Formats: sequence, C-alpha cells, structure tokens
Amino acid sequence: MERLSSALVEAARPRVEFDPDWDDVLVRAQPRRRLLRHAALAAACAAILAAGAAAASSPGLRGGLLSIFDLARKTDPAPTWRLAGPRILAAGPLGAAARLTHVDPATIREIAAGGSGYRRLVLVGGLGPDREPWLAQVGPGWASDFFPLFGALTQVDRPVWHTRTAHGWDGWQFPMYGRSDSHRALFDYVAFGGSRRGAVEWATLVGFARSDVAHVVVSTRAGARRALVVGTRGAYAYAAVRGPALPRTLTAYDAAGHVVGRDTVSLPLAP
Amino acid sequence: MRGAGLAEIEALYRSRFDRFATVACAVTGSQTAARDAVQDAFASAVRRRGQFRGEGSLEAWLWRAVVNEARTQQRRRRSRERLEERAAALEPAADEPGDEPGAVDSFVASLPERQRLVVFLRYYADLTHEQIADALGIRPGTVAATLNAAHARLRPLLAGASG
Repeated sequence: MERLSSALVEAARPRVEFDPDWDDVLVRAQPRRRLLRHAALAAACAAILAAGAAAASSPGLRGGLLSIFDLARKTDPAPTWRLAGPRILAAGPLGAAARLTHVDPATIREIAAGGSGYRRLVLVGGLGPDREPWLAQVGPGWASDFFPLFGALTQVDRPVWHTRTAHGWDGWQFPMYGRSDSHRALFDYVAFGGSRRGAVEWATLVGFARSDVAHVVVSTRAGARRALVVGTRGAYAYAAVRGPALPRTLTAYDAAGHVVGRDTVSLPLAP
Repeated sequence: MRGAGLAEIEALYRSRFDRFATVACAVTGSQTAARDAVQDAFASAVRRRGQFRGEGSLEAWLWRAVVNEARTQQRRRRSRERLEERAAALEPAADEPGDEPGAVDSFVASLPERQRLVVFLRYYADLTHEQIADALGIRPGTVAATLNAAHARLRPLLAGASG
C-alpha cells in the first residue's frame, strides 16, 4: 500500500514551467535592487505573470499550441521544436499588440523569460491571423508588436526601438527571421539599455533552442564564457547587469559537444 | 563560523534547480510564487552566506531557506486569494474556469502541512531521511514517523477513490 500511495504522490508531482536564472538571484540579493524589483515588477509584470498562471484553459487550445513550431518542423523534420510555456493573459500593452495584428489572445504563451525589474524580458508567442506563429517581446509596462516567426525574406529586417525612461533609456531589437532560417539552432531576442546615451550598460537576452541543443554558451564582451541552462522547453535566458558581462556571441552545442549553431548578439545604441 | 562560498551556492542552485523548483511548486501551488520562492531563498542565502555555520550540509541549509520562503509565499497567496474571494462575493460570478486541483492533487493537498513537506522532500527532491531532518530541523525518527503517517492517511482516501 505504501508503494501505491507513493505512486499517488508521484502522480501529483507538479510540472515546473520556469527556468533557472542565477543573474536574477544576484540582482535580488542586492537590497536596493530588491526594492526596485518589487515596485516595478509588481506594478508592470503582475498582470502578465500572475494572470498567466490563472488564465483559463480552453478546449482545443493545446492542439493550437502544439502547432506553434510546426512551421519549423515542416522544413526541418529531424530536430523538432518544443512546446511553448505557460499561458499568458493578453492584457495591457500586450493585449493591444495582439489586437493590432490579430494574434489570437487565447493562444498566447510564454516562451522564455529572463532578467528582473526594468530589465525583465519575456518572449511570448501566439497564433497569428494566418494560424502560424507570431512572437512579441514584453517588458515591464511595454510590449513590442507581434511579428511572424518567419516573416522576413532574409534577416536584414531588424526593427529597433529606443525609449527614454526614468532610469535612462531602454531598447529592444526584434530579429526578423525568414523561412530559410527554420534550420537555425537558436532564436535570440534581446532588450537592453543604459543610464546615458552612447553606452549600453545592461542587456537581457532570451531565446529558444532546437531540440538537439544540449547547452548554450555565451561569450561576454570581457571575454568570459558562461554556460546557459537550456530548459525542458528549449528556453534559455541571460541577463547582464554590467557592461563587461554584455553578451557578444552565443554558441549552441549538442549532447556530444559539437557546435550546432552560433549567433552574434547585436545591441544597437540609442540614436 | 565558516561561511559558505558564492560558487558553492551557485553550483547547488544549478545542479539541484529542478528539485528546488518542483518542491516550491508543490508547496505554493503556483508557478509565479514558486519562482519567487526559489529566487528569493537563494538571494537571501547569498546575502547571509557568511552566517552559514557549517554544522550541517550547505544543501540542507539551502533546502531550509527554500522551504521557508515557499511557505511564506503560500501564506501570502492564500491571504490574497481570501481577499479576492471576499471581493468576488460582492460581484456576479464569472464563468471563467479556475485552476481546480485534480483528484490526485486533492489527496496530497489534504495532508497536514508537515506531512506534505516531508512527502515533497522525500519524493520530489529525493532527499534521505537525514537530509529531510536537517532541512526541516527535526529528528530523522520524526521524518520516518511523519512519512508513515502520511501513507496511513492516504490509504483510506485511495480505498474511497477506488471504491
């Protein structure tokens, strides 16, 4: 009977839908930032994160979400893409962005998240009017437009936004991947900013990796190399809160240690 | 007082993250609260690492921090839910379905808090009786007795469910 009740406990094992983020631990360990995090995060991200957990499920939704990365599967059937993460309630700026491009709000899911406070960045995905994956970047109090995952002919289209803020300036860049990019091992999205023009002082990078990627290594501007944990859904994140830690390149490795992809990170300065 | 190294704490965070996160999810019942519990517990451990006396293992010290923070988050969540329930009672019922626990979740949730914590640490974190005792500040014999009590409590529930 003990074995039976152990099996019962095992059946109730919760599924973890978030990834490790050591940089966030270090930021929270600083008392001043802790206050900032609570003020900014509670005000701006509560609707996204808390409501995501409480969002209602709907029949057929899972089937729709399974198709988020179907597009990649069609052209590259061997290494497939994993499911997106927890549901996100499309409220505030994110809701407005979804309405603008007719992304179905019921299909919006978190794909990856990293950073904290005003450096928080969440990558979300949903099904667009063409029933194909559309992605958006979301931060405290802001959301980018939704763009189709493979919406560009080539990767020359890289929309950049810069905004003046109370703490200096924030920016984000949206890499527009083309259908020819469906073989990629890594898809990176980045938000960044600084306290003064002419200098990028922080960056939060989130992304998702193909199923054959075992780990990702980020090389920083100071030349350090740090291994990033690739979560069960293929999500990874990196947060740099100081200039030397800013990401320069990302390298993807498979389980055998072979390089299967490499990206250069672009952090355009405010004009 | 020997203190704990930042690198040691980071190494345990990275190697045991899934277990810390699973137990935090089980205690709080919420992904958001569980994430905050793990992150805040480790942030607190980083700040207070000089206070680690080395009397037990560093891992047990971190487990204690995560379990305590998860319980705090759970209490906060319950208080917030009670307030929301009071507010909802004044408004017409919404037809939006909530995250109702399944039958299996309900069985485990019906256990007293100490039994639930011991069960989670034993089955979700794979800790030994000694490690659980260290983490919860109780004796190993108490861990065994608490586990037995939890199994005994689940037995009639299982019988009722199958009958």
